[in-house]
Amino acid sequence: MKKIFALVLAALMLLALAACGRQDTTSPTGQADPNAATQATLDPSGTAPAFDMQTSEDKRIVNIGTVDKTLYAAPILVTSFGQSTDASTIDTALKRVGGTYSYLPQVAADAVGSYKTMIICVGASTKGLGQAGIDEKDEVARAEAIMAKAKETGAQVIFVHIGGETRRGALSDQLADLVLPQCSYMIVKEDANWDYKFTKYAEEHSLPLTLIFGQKDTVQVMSDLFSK
Amino acid sequence: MKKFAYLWKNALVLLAVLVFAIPASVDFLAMQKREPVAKNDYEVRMLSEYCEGLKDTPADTEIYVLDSGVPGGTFLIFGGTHPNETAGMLAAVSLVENMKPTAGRFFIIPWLNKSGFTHTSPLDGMQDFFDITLDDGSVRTFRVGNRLTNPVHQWPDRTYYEGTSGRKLVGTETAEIRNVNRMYYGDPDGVLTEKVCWGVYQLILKENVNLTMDMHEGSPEFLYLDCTMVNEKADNNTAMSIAQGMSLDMEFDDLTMRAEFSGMKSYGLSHRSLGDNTQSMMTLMETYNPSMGPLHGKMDDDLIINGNEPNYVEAYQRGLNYFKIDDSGYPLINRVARHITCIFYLAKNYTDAHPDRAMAFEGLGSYEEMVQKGLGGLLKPIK
Repeated sequence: MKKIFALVLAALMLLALAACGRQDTTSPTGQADPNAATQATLDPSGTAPAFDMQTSEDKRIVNIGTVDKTLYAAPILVTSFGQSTDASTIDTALKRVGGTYSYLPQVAADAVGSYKTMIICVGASTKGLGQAGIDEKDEVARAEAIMAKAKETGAQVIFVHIGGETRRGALSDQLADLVLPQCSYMIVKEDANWDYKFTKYAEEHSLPLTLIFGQKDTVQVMSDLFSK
Repeated sequence: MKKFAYLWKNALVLLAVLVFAIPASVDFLAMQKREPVAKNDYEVRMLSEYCEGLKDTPADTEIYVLDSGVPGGTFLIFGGTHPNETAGMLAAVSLVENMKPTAGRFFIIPWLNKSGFTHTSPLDGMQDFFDITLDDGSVRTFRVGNRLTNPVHQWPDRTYYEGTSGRKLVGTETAEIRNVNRMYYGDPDGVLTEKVCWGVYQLILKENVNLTMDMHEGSPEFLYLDCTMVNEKADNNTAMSIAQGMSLDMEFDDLTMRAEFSGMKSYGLSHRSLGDNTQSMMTLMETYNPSMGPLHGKMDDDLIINGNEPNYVEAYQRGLNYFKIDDSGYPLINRVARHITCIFYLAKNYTDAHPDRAMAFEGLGSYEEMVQKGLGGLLKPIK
């Protein structure tokens, strides 16, 4: 009798678990960013692939090559390719150093003709594209048109990639590859360089490159670049 | 005698029921008792002042108003949207008990889903209460609660529901009808949870709230941790710039706090629905809570307060967790201090962008100072 009773109780416990034991996996922030999810698989543990970082907590900024600051005349445009928050970080950094510039993350190609310097912040974000109401194809088309305009006007292009490793998805790389051939200076948060993509490119094309350890270092880099 | 045998049997059954029912009732009623808040210079209002339908319900909750007397902006801060996300509630209590506003007004709600604090999730291995020993030796007890409204207060969950949020609750999401952060902007004639949402919505509109922070925690598996979601729309799409200012200030203090765009399809969530339908800049912050994830081990005060869960350390070492977790854990005081520091810098950057709507406060110190004090020093004794 006792055995039967115990069996019934155990069966009831199992049923209770099946009915109520669901772990909720919905984030209070809503849907996960599919772009970020795929990017997270690049290095889920933070240990691989191992690469030699030149920057560190103690040496936060590493300059490779010499930047000709005289190239970067006003008017200056800050825009985003991929609509991540990185352009907004540059906007905030420039505000802190008292820069004069236009911050237009979704600017159209026909509105960039007058700018002599374009700071292009590359980093694709599904959430950012959604917020802006732009789909991926349109963003790539906008980027291509802006780069064509920059070629036509001779505007100087500064390539900025400060989203780190999580902004190295397929779309981010596609957008980066549009900008790199026309840029004269690169600023990269170094954990994005895990496959040496940016250091190799700078070396092969003799481009000055600044590696930074964290996003806060953009304040110092912008100050160095635009201070008189 | 045989005639009365059934009475004995019935009495025995009744006794057996009472043996279980009495302790269960004591346990249930203990969860109804609200935590006291130490004195500070505040005014107490109730959410029912903004949604009449909440009056005399278990979901009506206290709003602590701290006014600097200096004209400026209005900042609404709430914790306890999800009662099991402990740091948000404790950050709100710490703000209420310590804050000295120097510009603008602050509306603070520590236990937003008051009903959710009256039950817990035993099958997730959660416990009901945890104790914090203060510096003077006294002990304060707080409830853990459940992320959803108590079904005793709102039942049944509908098999299909579409509220004002635009979110269709069906299939695995039906229980979310009891989730405050899925039902914004609420409905004064809807279910109890929607009334809570409506109260917050009306508070934002009637008090002309400029900036809102909804404090959360997440299971360590999530991607959006040590992160603040921002609805860009406020003040002609300038909200992200303010949030990035906060993010950089945090980084200068060696603290990570990414700012991320609010998902366009996050229907019913505070940052999306309230940001789209009010004038307020809407933000939602997340820290990670090791006691919330499915991998957590034995649940006790140690795990809740010290936040060290070896299973998550191992998961990270095996490459199964994106968020870096080491054996130093993520103590509750660090998460509380991170929430408060984020709020401090949001207010600062909002004030820089809109000096006519200044909002500022003192009284809590820096992140490092708060961590050094510990929860025992940050929370005030109840007299």
